[in-house]
Order: sequence, then C-alpha cells, then structure tokens
Amino acid sequence: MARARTEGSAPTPIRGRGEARVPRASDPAGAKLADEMVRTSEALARHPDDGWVFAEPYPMSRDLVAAFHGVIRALIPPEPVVPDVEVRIEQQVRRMMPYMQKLVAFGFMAVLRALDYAPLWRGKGLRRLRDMSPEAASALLEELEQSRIGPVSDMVVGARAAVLAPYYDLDEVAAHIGYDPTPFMRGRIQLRRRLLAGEDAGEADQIGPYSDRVAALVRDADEQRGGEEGA
Amino acid sequence: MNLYRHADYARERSFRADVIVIGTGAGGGAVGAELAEAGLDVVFVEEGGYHPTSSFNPYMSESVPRLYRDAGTTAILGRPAIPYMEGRCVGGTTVINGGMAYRAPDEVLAGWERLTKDPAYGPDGMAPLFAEVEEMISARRQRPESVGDDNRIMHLGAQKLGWKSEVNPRAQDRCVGTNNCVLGCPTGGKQSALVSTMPRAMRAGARCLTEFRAERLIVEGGRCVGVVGRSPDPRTRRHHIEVTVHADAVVVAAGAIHTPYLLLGQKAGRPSRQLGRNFLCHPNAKVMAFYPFDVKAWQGVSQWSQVREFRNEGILFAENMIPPWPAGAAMPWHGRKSMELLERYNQMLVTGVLVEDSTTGHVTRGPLGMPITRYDITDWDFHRFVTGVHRLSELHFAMGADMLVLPFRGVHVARSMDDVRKVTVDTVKKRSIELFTVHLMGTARLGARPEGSVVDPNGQLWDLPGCYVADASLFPTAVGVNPQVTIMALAVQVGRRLAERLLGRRARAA
Repeated sequence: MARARTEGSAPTPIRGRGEARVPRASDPAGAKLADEMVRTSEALARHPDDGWVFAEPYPMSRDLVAAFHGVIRALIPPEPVVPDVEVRIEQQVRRMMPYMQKLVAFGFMAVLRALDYAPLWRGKGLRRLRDMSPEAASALLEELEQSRIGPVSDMVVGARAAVLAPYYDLDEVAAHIGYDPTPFMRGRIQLRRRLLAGEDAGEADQIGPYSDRVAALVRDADEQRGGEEGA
Repeated sequence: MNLYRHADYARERSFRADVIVIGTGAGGGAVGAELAEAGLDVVFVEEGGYHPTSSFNPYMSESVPRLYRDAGTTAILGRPAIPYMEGRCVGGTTVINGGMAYRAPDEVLAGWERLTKDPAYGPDGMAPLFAEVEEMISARRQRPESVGDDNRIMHLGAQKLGWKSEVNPRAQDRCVGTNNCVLGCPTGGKQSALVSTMPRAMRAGARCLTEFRAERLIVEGGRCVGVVGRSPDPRTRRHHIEVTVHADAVVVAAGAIHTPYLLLGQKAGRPSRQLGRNFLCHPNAKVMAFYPFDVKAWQGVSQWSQVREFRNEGILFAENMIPPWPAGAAMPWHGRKSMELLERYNQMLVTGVLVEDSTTGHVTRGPLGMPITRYDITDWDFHRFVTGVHRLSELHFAMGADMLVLPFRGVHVARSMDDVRKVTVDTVKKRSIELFTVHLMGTARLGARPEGSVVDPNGQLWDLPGCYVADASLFPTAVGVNPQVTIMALAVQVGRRLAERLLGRRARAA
C-alpha cells in the first residue's frame, strides 16, 4: 500500500472497509500541504522561515537582567571566549520563557533573584553574586549545589540547565568541542535522496569506524561470525 | 484551506466538522487519518505550530520552543522529580522521539483482553492492527550505512558479556543516521506522524487548526458536540482569540497528561474516579561513558539496538546519543569542569537504563492551566535502577571506557567497577537518582465496566457520549516497551469503530 513516506509520493488510496464508507476524493490543497510536510531542505537554518512567529523576549527588569548575567558568568566555562556570550544566552532563555508554564517562568525569575542574593544568605559578605568574580561565584554555586537542602540544590541544577543548554548550542562552542553537524547532515540528506531514487549506499556512505579500536572490534566480530557460519 | 494559524482566526473563528481530533501525534494522526480516509470531515486541533520537514535543523535555539511542550521544562513531581519531554507541534511527540517500533507483548495484551472483555484488544485481535501500523510507519531494522560507532560498542559489548542484544525495529524509511531525532528528522527518514499519518489525513481533505489550545468541550444534552479553545498571539503569547469547533464527535488525543487534564475540567470520569489515575511513565536513567578514542556518537542512528538480556526483570539498556546542548545541561558540573568533559564530546556515549513501571502515579488539574503529575518510584524500581546501572557500567568498562558519569547526585564519577560497586541502595538515597522519561501512558484506561475504567472498549467515555480517547491514556496497564506502535494500533481501532458508527448513522439518515 502506498503511503506518504517518500517525497512527492502519490496520494494514498483508500482501503475499502464496508459499503457504508464513501471515500473522499483526494483534496488538491491537502495533497499540496502533504507534499510540503515531507519535503526536505539542505538549508538546516538556525532560524527557519516556515511562517511561524517567534515570541518576543520575556519581560524582565534591568536589575533582574543584571542578576541573570551574574548567574551566567558564574556558570559558563571561562574558555572559549565567545563574543557577547552573556547577552546571547540571556536573550535565548528569555525567548524560551514565554512558552513555559507561567508558574515555571515566574519560578525561574525567583531562582535568579535568590541566587543573586546567595552571598548574603550564605554569609559570604555584603555583596551579590553579580559583584563576585566568575571564579568565586562559580565556587559558591558549586557549594550550593551540594547543599543537603533539596530546593537549594535544585535551584543551581535548574539554573545550570537553563544557561548551559543555550551555551553549548552556540556555534563557537560547538566548533570548540568538535561538533559540526551541518555538513554531515547535508551529506546524509543527499544520501537519502539517492536511496529514494533507487541507488545503493556505497562504502563511502558508511559511518565510521573512527578508531582502530572499534575497527578491530568490528573485524573480530565479523571473523567470529564467519567462523561460526563456517562451522 | 487545510492549515490554519493564529492569523487565520482573525477572519474565521467558528468551524464545523464531522469529527474533531485534539492532538496530532501518534494517536491523533492515526485516528484522524482513518476517519478522513473513511470519508468523514475531520478537523485536527493542535496546540503547537506547523513545522514542515524542511524547517528541521540541529540547533536548539528555535527548535525547542517550536517542537517541545513548555520549551522542554516539563517535570513529573515526586521523589525524585522526573523531567519529561513531550512534543507540541504538528506530529506531536513522534517528531522528537527515537522512533522505536515495538509491539506490546502478548502477555500484556492477554491482560487487556481480560480487562476489556473484548478480543480485539487481545494478542490475536491486535496482531493485524500492529501489522498495519508497522506498514504505515515503515517499521523495520536500520540499514547498515546508518549505524555509528556508539551502537557498535553497545551491541558488541553485550555480545562480549554474553547478553542478548536485539536490533530495534524503528519507524523509518531509509534512515541515514543523521541522529537529529530529538529536533525533528531533516531527511524525512523517521516516519513521524508529520510524514506518515498527517499527510494521509490532509490528502483526504482534513483540516488542521494549529496554535489552538483546546480549553473545554462543548456538551449539549449530555453529549459532547464540540471544543472551545484559544489561540494566543504568537508574539506576546497573550491576547488570545477564542475559536469554536462543532462536530458529531470529539476524539481527545492530547497525550496521557493533557487528555486527563482536559477531561477532568469537564468533570468526566466520575463513575470510576479512574480518570487521571494509573499514570505510567517508564522512567529511565542515563549513564554517560567516555572512551579513550573517538566515537563521534552524534553520527549514526540513535538506539539501533537494545540490550534485552534483563527484560524479565523489566530492565532494558539502549544507546541514546544526544547533542551537546542537552548533554551539557544534564552534566552535574558547570564552569571549567563542564567544558573539560564536553571537550571529550566526540569520545562520549550516552546510554540509558529503562525500567518498567511497578507503580502508578496520577494527573490532576493545577493552577494557571497547568497539569500536576505525581509519580514516586518504588524501592523495587530503585533497586532495579541501581542494578541496571551496575550492569551497564560493566559493559562500558569491558569495552574500554575510562570514565563514567553515573545518574546519582553526589556520586557521579566512576573510573572503575570498584567505584560503581560503592553505589548501592544503602549508600545512595532514592531521591538522589536522576531520571528522565518520554513515555507517558495510562490515565484514561480502557475497560469493560464503568466502575473500573474511564472509556469503554470503543474508546468512548462512559459518562460523556460523543467524546472518545485515542492516545496512550488508553493503556489499561504498563506495556514495558516503547509505546508508539501500541498507541497507533489502539487509535486505528478507535477510529474504525467510530467511523462505522458515524457512517452508519449517516446512511440510516439518508
């Protein structure tokens, strides 16, 4: 049975399942939309243009933004140096907040405020986290994370996830750790198009092995399988 | 016009159809395609947006708010709390899941047959439906060119230890291993509802109202006849437009948390008080392994195989590589320590211990439109997690890993099995385990009698005629395997029975 599993495939025939059923004629506008749903692109754009409107950043006071920047500085690694990193992470998080449950978004702001005042309520002096050096602030957050009081520890875990997820999504950071998915994905999109066109995958289309160790493991397994089949 | 967005509701706020389907995921897509192809006028209602395959990319910056419910910040309350991921887009969670395509085991289905007193839900009744669903989503094993080193290590490691490791059937057609399942498959290889059932429904003339959150059902004369919802302004996420849809029947397929949330608002499910109860979630724990050589686990399909040696204990292992952004967010360190580990991202494997539920939780309505889900793992679950982590660690060290990050707060690093053995049910607290889930099930269970279930064997609510359920909420008990195929099979069953009923009524009226 044909299904809409390939790009531009033919409309799905209706199965007969009883006299009372009157299959609807294929809807041309629906068929066009169905084709669009499955069509691929090599653009892999960070900001794809598919008609969807992205929400404006969640409103935050200037003071809370400053507190947020202090938390970001405390959590991100010192290297690599990334231009405007605090603003980019802050903007990304604030753009995600409108999609969160209202209580969660409000709770996140409360966490930022509580962490900013952490040096005061942890007895580390009359200053806020934003005023500490990144190293000292980082050490304080590490100490808080190890707290036996669950909600205190949870605050750091939550803030860390919110900050480090967009941090590791930055192009500069991805390049630093050797993660470059776009060329790989473009190559795979082209490979699938070739497969859909009826071609077979070649040796160059295989993924890995990327180390002598894994290559040897695969070779041993193949030899063992061959030996068992021979026996 | 088949697709509606927020801007379209400024000129059209009232719709009429034969059937409304709330949700476009595994259940909603399947039931809607069945109904539309049977000749019925179907309107889908989808809270999320429409994002075609061509919009998928490897970046979280827009993908997470586009594709994930609440931008991925959802969690089940309990000790420990369990973060969960759920899709909120056309295609639902199938757009962001791993695409495993397992049938519910026969022993589970035999229990369902007893509970529903309907042979259609037993092993023999479900087998042909499973076969149809597997064809719909092209469930099959991966091609060799899609498999990467991480899966080779897991599979060969299991073989080395004499454990049973099976290659997974997956919902894929010529998957080429981009490993972008969690942000939408850019090749169209993964057969999510977006590229399998929804296009079928669209071709058959269905309409899809996106960016539309169903708020309440319309009940007239004791019968469910429609849905009222709101579409928020996409820029402000406020200033909603109210939209109304009327129909002869409403199928709720909003997932095992939002289906009971909506129905509890209608004060439905009263005879049994089971609505929202019986919540199941297959929690899993991650073990991150670092090897002294490059693996590049981000190249190659996720979850090619599963270690099923301990299936009888309800424990499965699988590789489940994730991009750097969730890996960095999940690591128990920040600052320099975090980067030291992520600099080894190309040497990293992310693997999981999946444990079958031995208990249930519940879903209730919270404030500000928020469902509250509560689930506490049992001592038996905790014991199995600790045992599972030990065994999975054994596999990694046997294959040459030099360090593991374990899922226990305060006891994260293991450089040898001696370190792992220090982790026992006595040395770590149950609430310290870090869990995660994507399998949400069982809150509007099927059954033969209104006293013990929420919906009848046709999927219709016992106490709200005209309202049907067609998603993972239907599961009467835990399935112990990845649920997509079972959800779709149940949805097809509900869709066919509903189509027969509506078309029969139409024929009689004519």
